[in-house]
Amino acid sequence: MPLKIWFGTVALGLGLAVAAPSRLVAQDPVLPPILGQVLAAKDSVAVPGALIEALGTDARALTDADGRFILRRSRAGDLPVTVRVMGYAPDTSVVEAVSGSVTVYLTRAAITLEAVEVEAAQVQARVRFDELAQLSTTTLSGSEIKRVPGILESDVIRAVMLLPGTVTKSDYSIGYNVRGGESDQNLIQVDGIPVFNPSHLAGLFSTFDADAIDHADFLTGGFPAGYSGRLSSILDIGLRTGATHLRASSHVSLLSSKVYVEGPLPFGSSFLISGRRTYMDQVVAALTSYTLPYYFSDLLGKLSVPTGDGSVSVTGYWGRDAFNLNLVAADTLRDAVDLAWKWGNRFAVANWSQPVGFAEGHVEARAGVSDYFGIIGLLPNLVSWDNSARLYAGSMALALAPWDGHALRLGAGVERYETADSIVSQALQVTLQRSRHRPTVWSAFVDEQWAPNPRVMLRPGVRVEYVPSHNGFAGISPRVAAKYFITGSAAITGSAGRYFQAVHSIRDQELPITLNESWIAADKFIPVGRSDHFVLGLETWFGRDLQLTVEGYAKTFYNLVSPNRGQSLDRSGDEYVPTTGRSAGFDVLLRRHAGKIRGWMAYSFVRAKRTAEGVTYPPAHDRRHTLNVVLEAPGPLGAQMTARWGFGSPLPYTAFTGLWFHRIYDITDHRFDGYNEEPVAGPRNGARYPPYTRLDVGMRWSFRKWGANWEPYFQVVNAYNRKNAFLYFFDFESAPPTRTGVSQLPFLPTFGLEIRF
Amino acid sequence: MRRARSSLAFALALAGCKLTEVVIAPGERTLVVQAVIDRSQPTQFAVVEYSTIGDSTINGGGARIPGGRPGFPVTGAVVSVEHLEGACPGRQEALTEVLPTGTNLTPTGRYAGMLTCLAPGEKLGLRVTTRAGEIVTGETVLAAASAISVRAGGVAARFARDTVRFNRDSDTMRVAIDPLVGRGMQIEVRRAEDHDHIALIFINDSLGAAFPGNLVNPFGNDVGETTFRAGAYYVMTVAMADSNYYHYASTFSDPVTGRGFLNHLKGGLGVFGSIETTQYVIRVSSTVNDPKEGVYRLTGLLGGVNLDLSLESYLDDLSGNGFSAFARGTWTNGATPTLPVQVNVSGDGTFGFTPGVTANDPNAFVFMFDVIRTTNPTFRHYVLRGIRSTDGSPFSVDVTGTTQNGQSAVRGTALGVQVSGPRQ
Repeated sequence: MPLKIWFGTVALGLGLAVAAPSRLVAQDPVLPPILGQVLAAKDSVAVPGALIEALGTDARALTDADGRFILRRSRAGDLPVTVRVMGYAPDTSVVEAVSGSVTVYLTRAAITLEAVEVEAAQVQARVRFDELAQLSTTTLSGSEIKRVPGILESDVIRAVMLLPGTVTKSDYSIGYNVRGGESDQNLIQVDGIPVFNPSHLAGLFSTFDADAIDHADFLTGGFPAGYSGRLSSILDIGLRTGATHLRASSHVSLLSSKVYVEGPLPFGSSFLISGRRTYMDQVVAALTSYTLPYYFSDLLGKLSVPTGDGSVSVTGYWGRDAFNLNLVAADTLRDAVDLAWKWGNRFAVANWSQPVGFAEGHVEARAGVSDYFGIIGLLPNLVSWDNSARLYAGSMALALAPWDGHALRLGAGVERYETADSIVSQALQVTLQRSRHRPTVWSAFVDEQWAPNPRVMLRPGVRVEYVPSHNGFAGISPRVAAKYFITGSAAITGSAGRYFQAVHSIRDQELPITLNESWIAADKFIPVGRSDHFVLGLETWFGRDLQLTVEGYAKTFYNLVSPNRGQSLDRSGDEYVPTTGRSAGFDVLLRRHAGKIRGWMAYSFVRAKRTAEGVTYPPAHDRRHTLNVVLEAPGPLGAQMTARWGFGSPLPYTAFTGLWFHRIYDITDHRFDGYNEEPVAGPRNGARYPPYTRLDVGMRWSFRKWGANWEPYFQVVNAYNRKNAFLYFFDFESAPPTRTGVSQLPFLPTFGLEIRF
Repeated sequence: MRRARSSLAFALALAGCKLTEVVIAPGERTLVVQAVIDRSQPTQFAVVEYSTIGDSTINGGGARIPGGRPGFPVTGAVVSVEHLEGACPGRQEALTEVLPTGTNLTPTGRYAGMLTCLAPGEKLGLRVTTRAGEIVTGETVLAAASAISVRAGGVAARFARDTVRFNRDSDTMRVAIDPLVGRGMQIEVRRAEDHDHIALIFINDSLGAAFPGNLVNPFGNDVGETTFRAGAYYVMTVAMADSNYYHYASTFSDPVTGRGFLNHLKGGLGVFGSIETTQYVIRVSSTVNDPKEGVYRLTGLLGGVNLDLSLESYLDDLSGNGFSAFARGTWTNGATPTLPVQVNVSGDGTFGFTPGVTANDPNAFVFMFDVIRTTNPTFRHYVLRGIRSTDGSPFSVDVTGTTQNGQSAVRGTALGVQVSGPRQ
């Protein structure tokens, strides 16, 4: 088993790509592979991400960060190979029968991005099938993400929410649930650093600029031992790297305006930078006497520098949302009072990878910090609720291929979390609530992939985590994945593993909308969450482009955290109660990766349960059936058209059975004076909303004018204006009682323009 | 500064549409019991009622109890209080139903009685049994404070109902409770003459708070409302509370999930909790800057009474020309026979406006104050109107007094003069 293929595919988040020979189980005899390297003709700098095809065969590969590849031979004799990559002219070389290696020199030239990008993504999916015992993984390329119809703008998380295994509770937020897990159990990381609350506009959009994304790997279960920190899913986003010519684009939508620039730097380095800001507040202020008290802005940058055979990259992000409504003007004797809600994310991460010169080894190191803050209140000092989370993370990993058929990966890391949650009134000099948690998670892992014979792949691993602040917690996470090839294009797959999570969100997970997660972390009283996964599946390929994956799973959840409704003021440590749960279901993905008409159909079935404080109930994301069909095809008037049709069976909610009058006690005059009308809740999540369905359609044109590519687009969300229920309101003061509510997104047309230079 | 408008325009665009109204089946009633044992009171009571389930159009709230009644009162229930631990273990007492009087025979839903042995730390158990056999139980440990500290401007209140002088421009009111039993604190500040005017309600478990004098309620008016108006008296009530009452007062069920309220009763919703209250009077003043501020003296003969009233006036920080004033001195009782009474109250007024005067005059004023007494007449509402002099010379003040039913009780003229404060 070639080391670089397995290691490189796992390390996609680092922007590395490796050679991937196709797997021909039935082939006999085994021919020696072709080892090669692709270099730039001008300066002999390695070219990563180049697509190598052996003409007349199914063999394909991608170059890694060092420009190297391994291509399996399927026939003897001279073998012509074609090399293609963005920014370079294609090249075809002939590898002689007796030769085991080739070096290809490419000359720079403009080339369209999309075709190669899509093919690379497709190759990655097939490579993963051929070479890795890793299931429950779907990859979206940057261009695919941009094509999926979105709300006002392309959004990677909105695209991921259409993949199998995910349930979304509403149109209004990017919070999602994977295979019965809560939304705080999803790790979202960019170039290897987690992001705590990656959203703008109260959860309506993610913080990620789709233009900067190279790919997004979505793992819904059975994560290898190298992943940690969350129980349900991993969204591993890799930003673009290795730009070989200067490229800029500007984008204006109904939501925001954006500028994106990427390009080469000396010594084979490259950079990208992207900045975005909403503009409606400025327009309203300029044209009217009103004030739109909200805006967001963000800035993303990445620098990649080769270091001999290795590479170093540094990625940074700053983003901020601000809602500020002035209620009381400032005066000489008093401060202003503003109703304010502000939040933001910042992160910086450095990644270094370097070959070690033995056993086809490769070492990686990573160090980063990720920071989230959120403030809501009457500012500056009347009352404010502050929630913040910070992560300092460092890790190292060594990947080796010490013996034929074995690929070993060892690593260790440390994560230091700092969470703070407080409700304070500086004006009244009182702290209504304060908590701080600072656990450190020490971890180490071993992960090995072994192919004892051409039909079987095994991937055992173990991860150990130590959290001293939670009573010296030490967790051992065994993990195993296996694949049995029935034919060269069909395999039975399976995985099992244990996962731990030391941070929790105290946001009410039953709410149908995720504004932001509010983070706390494990301490003496707050536990480390745990989940066990069991997955069994079948993956089949029909030709090169059509993939069918079916996976069944069962998951358990322990030590999830819920607020304690009966907490005593006299005791510390009883603010939260542990919650347990289970989920089981299956996912189906039918995906066409290439061709004029491409896309996917994703179906999910899930049954989930939770138990807290002696009550067992279905969680708010217990949607039995979810179906998403996403298609991209040539459309009318020369457009590229995309469409998404989604269906969801009813979601649970808590119906109300009446109204009670929560009387207000007047301590001055010793009587009840006034009341709040509050609901009497029925069984928790004992009722169901109606089914959900929505059709989104988008069209994008492209033409060249004045030295630039112009791409106007038009999208319609909820094309048939279906009133999908969002919230119900009950009126028990009329006879008979009635129920009304509000729907989710209505018919919503959007348009925008992207200009690329 | 411009107030923000239309900030929800974008949100409204995304807010979706209203769903069609549908009729749903009524649910089952829930028994609600709300009882707060207040050690400072001679009589305790509980309100026993049902939730509303939409089978009736009766307004279920009921504004004020005692006085009003709930929309779905429970009649004929047995309400008992047992002393579980403390000085009188095993003692059983009852709260008996307060029967309706007058022409309204609707059950009151109130069960009251004089409970004995209400010592700090006494543990009481409540049991409510309805005729239908529904049972609600709860327990409380009687809360008490060992000491309460109220300080403003470096001066501490000496005893309960002491008057605390508070300069809103320079002072911070600091309140701290040293608990004997209990874990929550509630502070209420209301206008002394009108308890319906709430200046501040504060609930927390940190057992201490500080209120700066220039505190503003940002939701009070279009531009905010001054919490402590100079020239006004307030009554501040400080309560030591047990956990049950604290949770009852500080939590509520949210309208989306129906969860959030911390209910400590079994078999129903509501509260069985306890508090101990202590009250203080707050006298708020401020620095005097405007020529209209200062002390005015009203004299004259009204109905045979020699008036001699001082008005210590302060402009409000936020309301433009609004002002409040302490009215202290000799005034008329506004009745027949007319007798002098001593008053020490506060009231509110406005400069720049006088009803019946067509042109606005910045020195025109109207000022109102109430005199509430324990002997007849128990209530009079007085309105003073006039145009102040800017040179310190006397000016005429029109005086009218009405009963609480709005009937005229007194009318006359007094003479006013500004005796202190900045002058034009």
